[in-house]
Amino acid sequence: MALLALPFILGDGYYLSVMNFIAFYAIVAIGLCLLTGYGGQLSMSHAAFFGIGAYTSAILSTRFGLNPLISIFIAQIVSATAALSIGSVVLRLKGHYLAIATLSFTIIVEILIIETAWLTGGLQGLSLIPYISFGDFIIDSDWRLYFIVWPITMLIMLFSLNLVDSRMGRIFRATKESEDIVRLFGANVKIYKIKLFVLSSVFASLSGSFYAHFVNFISPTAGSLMFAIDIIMVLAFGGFTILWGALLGAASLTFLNEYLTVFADFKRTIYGLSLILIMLFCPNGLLEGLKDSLSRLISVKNAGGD
Amino acid sequence: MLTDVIQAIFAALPVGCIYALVALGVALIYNATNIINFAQGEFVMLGGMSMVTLYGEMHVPIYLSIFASVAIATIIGMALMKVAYRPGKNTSLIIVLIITIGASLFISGSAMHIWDADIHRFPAFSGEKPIVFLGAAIVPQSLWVIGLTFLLVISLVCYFQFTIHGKAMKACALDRTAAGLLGIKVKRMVLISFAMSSALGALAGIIMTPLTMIDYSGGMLLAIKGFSAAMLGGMGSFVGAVIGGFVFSFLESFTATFVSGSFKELVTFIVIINVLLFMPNGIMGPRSKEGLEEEEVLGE
Repeated sequence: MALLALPFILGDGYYLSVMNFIAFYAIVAIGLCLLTGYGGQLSMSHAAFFGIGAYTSAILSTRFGLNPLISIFIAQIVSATAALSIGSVVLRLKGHYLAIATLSFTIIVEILIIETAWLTGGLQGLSLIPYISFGDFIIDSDWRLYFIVWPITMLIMLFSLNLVDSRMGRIFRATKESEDIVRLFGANVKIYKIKLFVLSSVFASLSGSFYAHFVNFISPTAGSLMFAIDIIMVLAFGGFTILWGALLGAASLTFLNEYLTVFADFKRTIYGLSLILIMLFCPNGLLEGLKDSLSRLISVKNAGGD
Repeated sequence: MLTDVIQAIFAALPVGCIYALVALGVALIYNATNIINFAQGEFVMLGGMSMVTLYGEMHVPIYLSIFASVAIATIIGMALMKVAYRPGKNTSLIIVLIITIGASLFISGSAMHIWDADIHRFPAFSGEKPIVFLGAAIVPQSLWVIGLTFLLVISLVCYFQFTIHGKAMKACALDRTAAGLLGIKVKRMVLISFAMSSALGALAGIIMTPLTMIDYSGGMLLAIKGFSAAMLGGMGSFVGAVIGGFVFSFLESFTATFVSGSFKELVTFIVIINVLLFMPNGIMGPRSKEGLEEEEVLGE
């Protein structure tokens, strides 16, 4: 309800566009939260899938004149296929090995985007991407986008919350504890891991497609190493195992980014420092960290009173 | 054609040395702690950048500036150990990985402020005049890089083979708990491994800067390649890490010469994924499927 009322309070301006950017981040983060927080698979390839989703849809609609709604749909099929083929080989790996393999995939996608300039526009990026439109109704303002992108975010959130409590979700959580035990109970862990990987990659790619069609411009930073780190920042802020945390993390990072534009040069330093501090002092995310320190404060007070 | 091949080899040799040194640094820390240090490349950058300021701009005598540059990187490496290595606390793999990523960003971001975002170099150790051999040219600095790397690797191998300290460190790498029970101060050994690996990184940065130039970014890419090289060689084997480094540099150099310069890194990273999948124990590592199994991180 609050989300419904928000655009009326904020009006069609700067803050509403910030809200939309939060949604873009949040969708990617929910996907990664499922995969990493619940499934225990540390993947750094979500930036790549965001890039694939954005570029596929953008290229189809600008160079081939497809309706954005169709091109977005095709982009998701492309991403799902890519995720399926990458996931089915890479998910055999664990821990660090998986992280490095998925990171390599991200770097490969980034290089491909930059080097195939005839298709993607290379370093200059791709501009003049058409808006999403339903007949004459064109999604060209923050206001209109808000009512498209937030319902989708909420749907994805609800879907994920349900997924976590389903049989599939229980298997993921058990997989995180011990794959061998899950296997002993007769679940085909490999298939489930691949399903989860494809699902969460498609979330990232969906967010990418929407982003491309709303901003009308896309550059290789969308699929880059720095963006991969951005997404990890979102989860670090929000907590890896809390789905709602993805929203909080997305909000924190977006605001941080907005304020940091003033000190853009300090971005790396501040990112690095906050990653270290969060991991050291509240590895379960800011919300849990706040809760922890509050309860500690209260217990200290109680102990002092006794 | 032959000239092209020789030229490609000449280009690959010094780069391979640098990859080998980074791989050695990654392997040192990984063996002691099971931490993949994403900040390993930043030591290379710190070593090179400090040298640019001290030797290139302030004209401090060369030995003194090398010593100071290595010292700076080593101190930061030891500080990183205090942050990233926390035995006994329930620290998951993801958290430690993110801490080193954070450290990498923090160090490179700070370097951008201390220096700037430009590309730097300082004059080569002994002249810039290329030596021509069979029609291909090699600059003297490349020979320095090759020679010094050779010396460093030999002294590392000797350290681990013949000194009591080195043997204690090997024991820690094999089994930290057992080593601790035998009276080896595990924590100090971990500290030494971080110090050694950051010093190695800084030395790599110092010898490569006159050749390849240096800027604040790019450390993380170097760290990823270093890790992959270490793994291609089989984590834990020094000779393997060196071989791994050379495999990657030859791949890149030959792709750049005979295919296209812009695709050299593409080939590298495709190879990295395949190495991870098909040779998780590398060339010199033990023949088991260990890499695919659950890793124990940060034992007590």
